[in-house]
Amino acid sequence: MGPLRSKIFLLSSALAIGISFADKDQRHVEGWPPPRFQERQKDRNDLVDRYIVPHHPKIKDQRVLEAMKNVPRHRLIPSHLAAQAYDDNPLPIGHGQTISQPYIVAYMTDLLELEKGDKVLEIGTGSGYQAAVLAEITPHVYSIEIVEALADQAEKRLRDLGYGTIQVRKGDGYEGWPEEKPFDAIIVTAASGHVPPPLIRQLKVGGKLVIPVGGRFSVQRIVRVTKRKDGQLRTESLLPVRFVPLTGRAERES
Amino acid sequence: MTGKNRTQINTIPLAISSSWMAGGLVALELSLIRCFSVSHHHHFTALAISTALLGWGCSGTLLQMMGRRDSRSVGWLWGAIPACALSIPLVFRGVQALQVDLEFLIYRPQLIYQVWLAGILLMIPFVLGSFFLGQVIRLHTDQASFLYGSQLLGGGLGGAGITICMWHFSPVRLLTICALGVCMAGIPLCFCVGGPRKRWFGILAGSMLMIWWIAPFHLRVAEYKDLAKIRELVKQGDAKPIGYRYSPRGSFMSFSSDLFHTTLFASLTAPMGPPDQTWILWDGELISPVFLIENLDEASILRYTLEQVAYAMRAPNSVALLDETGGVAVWLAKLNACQRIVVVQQEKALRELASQSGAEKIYSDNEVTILSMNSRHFLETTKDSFDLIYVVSAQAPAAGISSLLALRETPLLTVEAFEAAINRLTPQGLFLVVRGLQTPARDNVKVLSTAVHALERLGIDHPGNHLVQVRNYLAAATLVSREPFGDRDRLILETLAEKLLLDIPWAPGIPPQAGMQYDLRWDEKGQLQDEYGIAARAILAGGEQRRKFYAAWPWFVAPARDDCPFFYRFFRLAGWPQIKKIYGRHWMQNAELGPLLLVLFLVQGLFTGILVLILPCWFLQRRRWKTHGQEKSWTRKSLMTWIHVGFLGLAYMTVEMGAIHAFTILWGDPVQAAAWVVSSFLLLSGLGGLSHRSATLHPGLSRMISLLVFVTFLFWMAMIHGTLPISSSSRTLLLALVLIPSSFLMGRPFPALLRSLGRSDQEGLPWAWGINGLMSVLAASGTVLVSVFAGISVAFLLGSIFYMAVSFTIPRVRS
Repeated sequence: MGPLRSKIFLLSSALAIGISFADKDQRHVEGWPPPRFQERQKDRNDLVDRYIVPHHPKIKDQRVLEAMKNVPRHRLIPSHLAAQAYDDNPLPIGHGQTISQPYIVAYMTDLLELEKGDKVLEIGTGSGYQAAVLAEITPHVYSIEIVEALADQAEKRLRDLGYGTIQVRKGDGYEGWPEEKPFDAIIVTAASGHVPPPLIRQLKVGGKLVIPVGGRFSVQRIVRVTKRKDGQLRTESLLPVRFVPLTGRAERES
Repeated sequence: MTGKNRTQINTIPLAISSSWMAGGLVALELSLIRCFSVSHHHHFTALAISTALLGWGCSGTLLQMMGRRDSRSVGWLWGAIPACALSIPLVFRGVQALQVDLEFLIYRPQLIYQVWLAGILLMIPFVLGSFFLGQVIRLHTDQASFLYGSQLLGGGLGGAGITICMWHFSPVRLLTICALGVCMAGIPLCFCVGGPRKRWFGILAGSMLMIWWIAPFHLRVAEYKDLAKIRELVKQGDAKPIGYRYSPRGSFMSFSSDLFHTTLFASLTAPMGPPDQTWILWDGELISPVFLIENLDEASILRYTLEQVAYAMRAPNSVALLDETGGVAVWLAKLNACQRIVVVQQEKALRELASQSGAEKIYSDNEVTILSMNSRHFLETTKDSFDLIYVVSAQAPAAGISSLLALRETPLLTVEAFEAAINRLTPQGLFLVVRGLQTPARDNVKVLSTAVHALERLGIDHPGNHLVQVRNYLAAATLVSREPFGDRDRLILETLAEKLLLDIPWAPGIPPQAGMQYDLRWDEKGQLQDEYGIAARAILAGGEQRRKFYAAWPWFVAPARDDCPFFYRFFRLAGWPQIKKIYGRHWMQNAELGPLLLVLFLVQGLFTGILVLILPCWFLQRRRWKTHGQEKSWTRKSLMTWIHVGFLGLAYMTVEMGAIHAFTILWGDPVQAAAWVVSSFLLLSGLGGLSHRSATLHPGLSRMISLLVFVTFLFWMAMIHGTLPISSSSRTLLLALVLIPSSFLMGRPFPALLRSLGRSDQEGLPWAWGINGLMSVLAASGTVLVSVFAGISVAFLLGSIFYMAVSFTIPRVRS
């Protein structure tokens, strides 16, 4: 091989290697980004502009705000509650579970500091709303739900809406999703007594885990766990919240 | 059935019948308390007692409204018994269908109407039963005191009887027993009147069968209780029940599930997850996991808990585990090679259930001794010293739901209890309390303030040298040492801090920065803040700085004392602006408004009392004025009668409720205290009433009662201030002996007043019933508020003052 061909070969190889290590979002993922919905766009814009943006602590990532404007929350709740879909409140979705208050969904998503292409695990699919918001930022969303009926329902609704990259599984979220580890980010959407050790193990170095910690009916705190580059863990106790299960009555979530 | 001439009615069987009915009603009251303890929380005692009293008062008013024409009719008696009996299961089913969840009240105030409706429904059996009792007295007004006394006696026996039943039957089954018992009140009645007994027996038998058929089997539990969540898991096949036990102290259940993952506040650095476990619930709340492990290796996660700090610092050989349940704390002691492990757990049913659920192996270990006694008694009576005393019950997850638990007495978490524990330590011994974290800092600040006050009571000049508080992201551990912590302790702490990611808000010789290294918290300006360190330094500074800190903190964190033993009372009116600022528009849900539930019961009782007690009297009075063409005004005599009966109602219930709280401290159990105090008061008051046939209202009687209650107040003060150098058991006995004469005499004034009114002022009778009932209802909830915010001693003092006020209104009634 002559010198010129060698150089061309080396350059091509370098380019190929560079592409393979390029930002994941340069690669095409089928079914992503999800479709856009015109229905009730104004309501979503109002929700973000009137309730989420002015709320303290502020949402730093503009992509989160855009995601909140895109996801059709009214399509992920029982139809008789559609009129309340864009109030900044949690709502009952059956089986003693709720769809979270939009501000809290935005806040917890913001804490994850997601990048496009990140792999994120959600514990507690519920209605699928949080998973859909995550999927607006990154296609690689894995979600676990312990209530089988809810898992099935969420999976179907998300697929129908075009969120085809979200993978939903029924199971015990405590054990995480070991087959797909490590994750860049993990989010737990139900109050928990502690951070499950399996989730810590499945978190990538540099990754973040966000979870409301506290008793089931006491005041919880949103805690963010960061796995630093040296492997050390640090926690931050952030917003006090109250994740309260509903029984068919609308409740308020701090 | 037609009305019978009262001379044909034999008094003795009538007395037995009404005694039985009274017993059934008191049993129902206590059964409701037991049921509410499981479905909600035990301080629905106030609601149950208020409801019973309202029913009693309402029936009296109803009887008076019937007038003379039916006063001799036996027919009402026949109807009242099956009606009362059948209403018990029906009403309870109705209340369950309403799904009253008081925790949701702060989210949706509209639910208050459901609470009110539930109260009205619950009143029905008491109205019907009390109506029967009142009508019995109207049949034989000349034997009124005998019949009234027998009713009180029956009430006492009924209370004692149902308390015994609590050992063997589930709470909801107790209601069936009460209903059947009420039905049986009809049997003696058959032998005291003529007529077709077969038909009457048939009605009773049919009622009993109907009761059995409609009796509720299932107790609905509020959504916020762990039992509700576990039942969901059982329904979907993810959990299984293991066993249950009942006692007057509680209903205990255990479940197994692969989804149970309690780690007892283990550090994030724990490389392993928790072992398989079962859960034990007490009145629907998780109190302890039971690790299903066979050897110490499987318990390794416990080395990453905050409790391990105590073991690492002092390597204790002898350990006392107070209110230990489930064996986990025992595993930790074994893991650290303790040679002598004493488990103090009063409740035998709980120990049996824990053994059945997987703790048998660890409990039967040679190095483990199990003592069946109240932990507070243990601290005050044991002659042994320990290297480590650990209040295991303080870390129970359920204890974090402070809002509704704010009304719960905590004999182990008072200054006096901490002092007693520190006195039982060896020179190098440690006293340990672990609690979960709250935002803003709360429980652990109070634990630290309690420890500081206890050390000061022991005469220690620099409490800060004897205290360490460490925390991770979940909980904090407070350690108290008899000897000052030294350099060796500091080195161990620093090593552990790195291994377990511990922040150290307070330890002698360790800089403040150690309080914010691993679990970061920010203030509103975005600055790193160590709330626990700030609190510790302020409290330890003492004097004005400490006072200012207590006044400025959003929560009430001054320590609980034996006279006011409500550790979970965190509510401060002055703290609301700060809570609002922290929680924004949802501040009300997080302001720990538990004590305000009592205000709610008070207001509800007042409103309902006016509606069902006072208003009927008012309409009755107007009708009489119209009928007799009298001038529409009350006499001075009437007004003084009202004041007199009002004070009587206040006085009796204030003393009784004060006694319930006092014995809760002494026995460590509120439901058992309520059961025995209510029964004893009724029994003794009944005997007092039976032995006093006079209609003369003598001020000396009430003054004597006032003096005896004042002696109780003095005795209680001496007891809580430790000036009585006698054992716990002796104190309990003495308090009971001091209360016996007063409760005996307390059964006399009201029957005497009724007899007096019966002779001189018939129109005043419904008012007497109504106002006495209303004030009793207010006193039931009001006294709890007084105890929570001012102290149990103030309740006794108020009772004494009220009886003195009774004595000063008597002469005017006579005139």
